Amino acid sequence: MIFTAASYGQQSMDFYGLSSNAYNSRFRLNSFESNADNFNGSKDWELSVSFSGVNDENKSGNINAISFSKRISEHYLYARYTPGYHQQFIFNSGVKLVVSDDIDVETVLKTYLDYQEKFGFGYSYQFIPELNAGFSFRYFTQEFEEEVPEPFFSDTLNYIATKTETTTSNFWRGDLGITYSPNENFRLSVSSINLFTPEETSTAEIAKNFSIKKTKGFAAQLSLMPLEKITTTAVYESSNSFLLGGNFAADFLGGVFTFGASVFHDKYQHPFIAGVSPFINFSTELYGITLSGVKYLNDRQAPQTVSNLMERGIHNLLNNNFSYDRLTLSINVALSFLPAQSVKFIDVELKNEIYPTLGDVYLNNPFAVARAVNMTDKTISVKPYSFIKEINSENVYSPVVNILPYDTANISFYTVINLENLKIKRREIAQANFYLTIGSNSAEDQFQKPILINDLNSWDGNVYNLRYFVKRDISFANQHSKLIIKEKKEEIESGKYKSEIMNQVKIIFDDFVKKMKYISDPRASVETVQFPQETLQLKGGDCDDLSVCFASLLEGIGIQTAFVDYKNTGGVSHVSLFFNTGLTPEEMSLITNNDNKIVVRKNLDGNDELWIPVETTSLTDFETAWSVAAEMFNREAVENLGLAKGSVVIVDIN
Amino acid sequence: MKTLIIFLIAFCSLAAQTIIVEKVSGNVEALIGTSETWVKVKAGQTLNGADLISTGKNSSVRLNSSGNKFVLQSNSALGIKSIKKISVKELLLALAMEEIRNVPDTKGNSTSRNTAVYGGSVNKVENELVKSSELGIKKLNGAKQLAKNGYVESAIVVAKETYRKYPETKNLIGERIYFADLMLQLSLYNEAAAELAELKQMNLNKKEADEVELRLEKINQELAK
Repeated sequence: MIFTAASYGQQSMDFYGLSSNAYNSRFRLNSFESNADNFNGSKDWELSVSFSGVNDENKSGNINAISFSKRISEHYLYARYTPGYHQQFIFNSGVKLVVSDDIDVETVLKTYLDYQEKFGFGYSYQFIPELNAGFSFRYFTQEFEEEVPEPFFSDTLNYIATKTETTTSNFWRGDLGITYSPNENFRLSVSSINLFTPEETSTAEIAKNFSIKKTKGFAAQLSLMPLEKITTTAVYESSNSFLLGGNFAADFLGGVFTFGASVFHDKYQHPFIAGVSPFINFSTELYGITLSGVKYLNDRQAPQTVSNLMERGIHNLLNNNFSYDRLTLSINVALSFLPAQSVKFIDVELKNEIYPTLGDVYLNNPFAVARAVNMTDKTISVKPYSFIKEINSENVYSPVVNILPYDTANISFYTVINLENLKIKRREIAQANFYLTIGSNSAEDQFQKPILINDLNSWDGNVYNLRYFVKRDISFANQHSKLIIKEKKEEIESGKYKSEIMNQVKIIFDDFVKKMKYISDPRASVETVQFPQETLQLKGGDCDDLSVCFASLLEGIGIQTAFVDYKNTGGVSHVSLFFNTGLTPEEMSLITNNDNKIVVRKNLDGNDELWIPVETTSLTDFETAWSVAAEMFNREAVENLGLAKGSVVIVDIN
Repeated sequence: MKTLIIFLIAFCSLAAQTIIVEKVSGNVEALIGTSETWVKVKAGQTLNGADLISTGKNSSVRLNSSGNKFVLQSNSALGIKSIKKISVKELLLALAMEEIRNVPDTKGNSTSRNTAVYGGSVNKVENELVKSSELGIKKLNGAKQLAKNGYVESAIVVAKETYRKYPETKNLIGERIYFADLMLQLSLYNEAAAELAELKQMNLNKKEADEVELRLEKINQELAK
């Protein structure tokens, strides 16, 4: 998807049928009108020429418009010359001069109204890939010629000559626009209409009566991609005019073939649906050919009155009450001195499903790895980014990867999960969008792949990742544990252990287990873990839930904990808990006479500390839970060498 | 001597799980499983792998498992689970396991943890430090008896565990040299070198320093081969 330029404010009707879409990102178009965000795949220079044939016997085909554009990084410059944006009116008025009672002299006077949009230019800037903004200025000329009678009288001959009086009323039109497109399925543009219209003031009556109307307003355009390759667009203008269009794009002969149509309602035209604008287009990296047109649904050949022209006026030179059916052939050529595409995806491999609660995991471990190829003869720095609308609030950039000329490389994609704005309630398939950029924020290539997003309680079975469930409710756990400690302060001070931490843990554990029941996980294709607050509210859980909850209660008050992962003990995996007493081995007798019940572990400073195992599913009391856990640890981890063989793993929650 | 050889061979297959106390002399006690209380050991009692048996001064106990016998001499302590033959490979796994257990894993998170503990002063109760070195020394005695009875690998495991749980025993230089020698006996040069290097950093008398240096030189020669 390439949104290369910003909005240009315009009244929306042109002859391209709202034809741009995300799929045909190379579509080349030289219109400001229906292309409010100036959608264009240009990477460098681009030349566009369009020819137009009008269903008017007085007119023949001619050059409609010529435009140049140039991209410089995030800047986009555009200029066009529009000889075909031209409309003329001629009307006659009969004049009779009464010379004497029996002599009248008659003549016919002509009035010429000539309107032209001469040229225009625009500039836009891409702030971020999702947001463009820009402005456009166009110059219009209006020339009004009136023949006025100049009677001549003599003895033998009375006649009326005519002379021509010319009035000009040229003006500029400037507009602003902005486009927001968070992904290829959605694009919203808002632009002004006649925001700035500085003009040469003319006091002539004819200029007042026939000048192009410059009613201020705005246009809003919404494009949606409900299905791949199909785009629908709606445009609303503040004058209560609208356009509705759609198009379909498909790969064809190495390019993209697109066809579609729009219908429009114009407040100043009849009938309600004033016309239809179909188009077909074929675009490649280097050129695009578009055949488009407009067919009005009323009879445009019927003569109309001057008063009608005065009343309705002209609001848009391309499309007004007096426009004729038109056929336009546009040829666009990319004059790129840069490689058309520097880097290209070969494939993207998804490394894992997404478990939203394990957010930090995807900061350190790629959730996908792409294979990409450098298509140039120079080393390029590829800046990758990805977006999954269900979990990301914005594009997530991954580290830059340098790829040698014509070489391939693996590109890792990391992601940041926005838990605050998570858009899923249950497991679902989402579309992961991957992009490769070089230099600018414009994507050189994109790739889309479905990915499974699990719900918040889903767990990947890796005990290392239980820490994320422990930490999620840490504030709640802190309050919960503090409350228990506060209520049982005396019990702690006079506790059976000569260690305050031990007495705190005992009190919290005994309070915890008397409320709990062991409840197995529901049968499901994915393991789930309750958050600590949920476990306390539900008053139960399995070993994962209970260990997570109790660990959170201890961590909440600064007591260090670790999970003990017993892998497939007797065919069933089990998770138990350690906590750090903060005591040294020399202080062992403060808490126990039995060294089978403690585990000595070094802290980060290299000093030994005593850790205590606790079996949270032993819903009896602290001492029993300690003994049960110690027996299991000594049997599985020590005697059976589980720690060395990897069947028992200690995972610190830090 | 003949009796001793038969005795050693007989105990090589002694199972660690269940042992019957055959004869008790003097003060012999045991910690059963995860119990906090020492209980008197009586002849005919059955002990399990998780139990710890301890003998007092001038005391001993004879253990029997399916006809295999082991006598624990005075002032010694031994976990029943230790009385078993393990391979050198299992010994190496057990030594590696100590490292795993000792070093908290920081994978994926290098941030320092909050060490604040709610509730103010914690952990230490003043003037209540208990000198538990007596049990540690007993355990080293027990380990030495394991080695002498042919359970060299198990003896090394017990010694290393004792040093960790009872750090005061690390100051018993002679004992440490003894267990380093057991490692050399099993050709565990790197493990022995690490132990001796640690000893070298301690305050050794000349005799001890010479003994350590002698062994280190021997290890270097072996490693250079």
